Amino acid sequence: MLQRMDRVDRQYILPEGELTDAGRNIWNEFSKEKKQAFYRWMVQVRSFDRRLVTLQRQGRSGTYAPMEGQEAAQVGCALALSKEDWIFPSYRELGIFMVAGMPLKQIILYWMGRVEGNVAPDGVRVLPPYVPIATQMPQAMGAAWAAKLKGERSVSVACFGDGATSEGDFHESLNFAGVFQLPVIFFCQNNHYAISVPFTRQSAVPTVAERASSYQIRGIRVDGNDVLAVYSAMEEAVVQARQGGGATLIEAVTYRLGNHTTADDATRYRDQLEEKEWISYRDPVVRLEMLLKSEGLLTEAEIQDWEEHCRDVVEQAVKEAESAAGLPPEHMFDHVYEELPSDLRRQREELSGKGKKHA
Amino acid sequence: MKFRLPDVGEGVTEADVVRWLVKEGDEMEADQPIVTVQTDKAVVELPTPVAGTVESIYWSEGDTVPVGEALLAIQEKGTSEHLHKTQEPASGSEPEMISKGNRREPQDGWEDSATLSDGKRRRRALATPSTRRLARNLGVNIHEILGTGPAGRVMKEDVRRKAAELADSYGVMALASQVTRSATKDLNGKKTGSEPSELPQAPMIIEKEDAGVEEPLSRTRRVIAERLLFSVTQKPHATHFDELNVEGLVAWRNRINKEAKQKQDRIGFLPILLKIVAVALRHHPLLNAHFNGEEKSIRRFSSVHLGVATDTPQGLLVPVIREVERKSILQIHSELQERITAAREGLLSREQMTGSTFTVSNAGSLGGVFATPIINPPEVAILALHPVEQRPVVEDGQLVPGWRMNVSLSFDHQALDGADAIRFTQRLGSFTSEPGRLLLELT
Repeated sequence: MLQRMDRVDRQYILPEGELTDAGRNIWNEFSKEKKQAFYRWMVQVRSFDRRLVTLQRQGRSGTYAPMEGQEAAQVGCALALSKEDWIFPSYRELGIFMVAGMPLKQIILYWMGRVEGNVAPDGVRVLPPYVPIATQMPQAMGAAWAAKLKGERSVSVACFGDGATSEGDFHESLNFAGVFQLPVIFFCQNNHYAISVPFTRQSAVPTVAERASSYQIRGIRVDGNDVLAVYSAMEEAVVQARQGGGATLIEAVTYRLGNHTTADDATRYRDQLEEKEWISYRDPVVRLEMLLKSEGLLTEAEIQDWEEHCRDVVEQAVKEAESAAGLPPEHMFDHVYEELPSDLRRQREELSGKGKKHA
Repeated sequence: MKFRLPDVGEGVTEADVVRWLVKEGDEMEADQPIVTVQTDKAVVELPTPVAGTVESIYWSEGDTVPVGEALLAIQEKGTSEHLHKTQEPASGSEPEMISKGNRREPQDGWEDSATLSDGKRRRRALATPSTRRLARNLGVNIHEILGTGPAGRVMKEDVRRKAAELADSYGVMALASQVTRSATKDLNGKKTGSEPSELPQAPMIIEKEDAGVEEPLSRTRRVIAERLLFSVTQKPHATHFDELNVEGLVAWRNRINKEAKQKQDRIGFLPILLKIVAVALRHHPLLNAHFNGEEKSIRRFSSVHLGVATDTPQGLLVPVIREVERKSILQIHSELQERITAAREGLLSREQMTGSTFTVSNAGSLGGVFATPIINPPEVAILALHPVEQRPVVEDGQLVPGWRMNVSLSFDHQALDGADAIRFTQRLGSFTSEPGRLLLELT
């Protein structure tokens, strides 16, 4: 059973920005555009993520779950997918949403608490963020099952954190995926903390990936701050799923550089030295930048231009979101019941000024 | 524009200003951090949404700011219109009042204790958010408490003990200053048109099967609740009811008010009654006292500082009129007007809320017959005044109309007995039936 599991961390781009031998082989296959696309997406995601934190601090947006530090995991994951694949994300998935094609304006609206922010444009198969932990996992498994029964080509991906692995939903969905050999990928970003609970307090098993063996599915543990490693693991999992080879559990080992959410203070439960190591040594964007520079694919001027471009794109989206007309308050009655119960109907009438008023 | 404190956590209602990173007159870039605030959950830096100059800063370091209050005013360097709109929900022109009248000045080392002389922030006390909240509500600086929990953690009992010590050392009225503070802020919130975070919402319709609506107490109300609980559990209350003959008082007041040229010069019963209470207390100094429950000692005062319980939108506040025995009725009248207005607008200062030696609750304007008022600790008695009204009375065997007023006097039975209470209200009655007797008290 153990041979199905990749115990050795997959790492292609070292923190110093150098490729391993295996990494070099894969890297050389890629076009210049593809190499740059990894970088551009990661910078764009980081720029947007920081802006959302600032907007919250200024009272212009609601509670936000920052993902800075997890750009390689999210961009590498989403870039390996095709348009027909279904994504079931958690709430800390800004990079997934952006690469999948969710418009920035929609994403901002979501964090402003606007229901319109949940609506993906046609052709973008990403579900709204699942806030209750791990609830997206059985649904991703179910969607994969449906695809299999219908003979469709699509793969489902459930994105979740290490905290979700402590939930029953994790076990149930992996179990079914194993039993029925479903085209589903369980993509875990292990950022070491479920809010404030360290992974060692959640699991006696030292890694998430090795749990895959319990369900007879493949488990891969990758350096989640290495976009090439993440991408290649995802690509293998997608190919396997499409060919009927069943599910894969990928553990991308990463670290959120910020707080759990804007309501959290990570300095209370994380060691400063640990944070410093991840920030100054293992940053996913920095290592890719170094690699591209050494390959002659990126210059300082290009970096600055791109960062400026990213800021402009984000500002434009902020303007659009802030000037978007709000929905009428009656809208809050629209999405739960097909047919409203009488008390809610009365409330809606009162709200729109039709019903009788109470003092 | 005014930058208002956002809900920087998830459903937090207030935050403490830890440090200002800019000062008035400073130029700022958009998104530059301007202030560090601390909620129950986290310490966070807030960035300015616009570029510009700091016009005025409304809160000092150490202040607790309700969410939605303006933190500072920014002279904008020209920004987009929509931003301006989202930041200014129906604002009036309140900055004057806030910056001049309401900005809390450091008192009794309250702020100073939060920072050390070298400007560094003091060690943060270890405590749960609910304990911090309790400390704030009781007006206790949590950083001054030595915790008894594991690793020096400050426990709720520590906070309560500290609050009780404070109550003993300078009177529980000090706590009332905390009430004023939050009341002030609530009121400002209301004036600016933002949502009053502390006031109960409009009554909701309760239907038959409805389980009711549960709401947490406002901060003001919680302080009141803690203090009243302390009083009724620590002080054995007894209440004496009496009916006072107020014939002379009514006739005398009518005469005086007829002479008044302008309407605002006309005086109500309350200033006259306060004077009478002060004069009567000089005859019964046992009632003009504080009781120290731990030492089992009574401190009597030669001056009469009267607390006047006042109904305000935030709840019951008790402004204090000092040295009533030395003031004329007209002085008391004008001071009373001023204090009650200030209390209702939440503008009372700490000094104006502390140090009373006896409290009068004027229920008269609202009606009622008798009441059992709760003593304002550490005082030993409280007098409730009921409506002045005409009643049928028997005089020389004849039924005639007579002016009467009921009073209810609650007293701390540890310090006083029923006879003291009866003698006191009888003394009051002697002055209300014939205010001319006050002449005998001239010094």
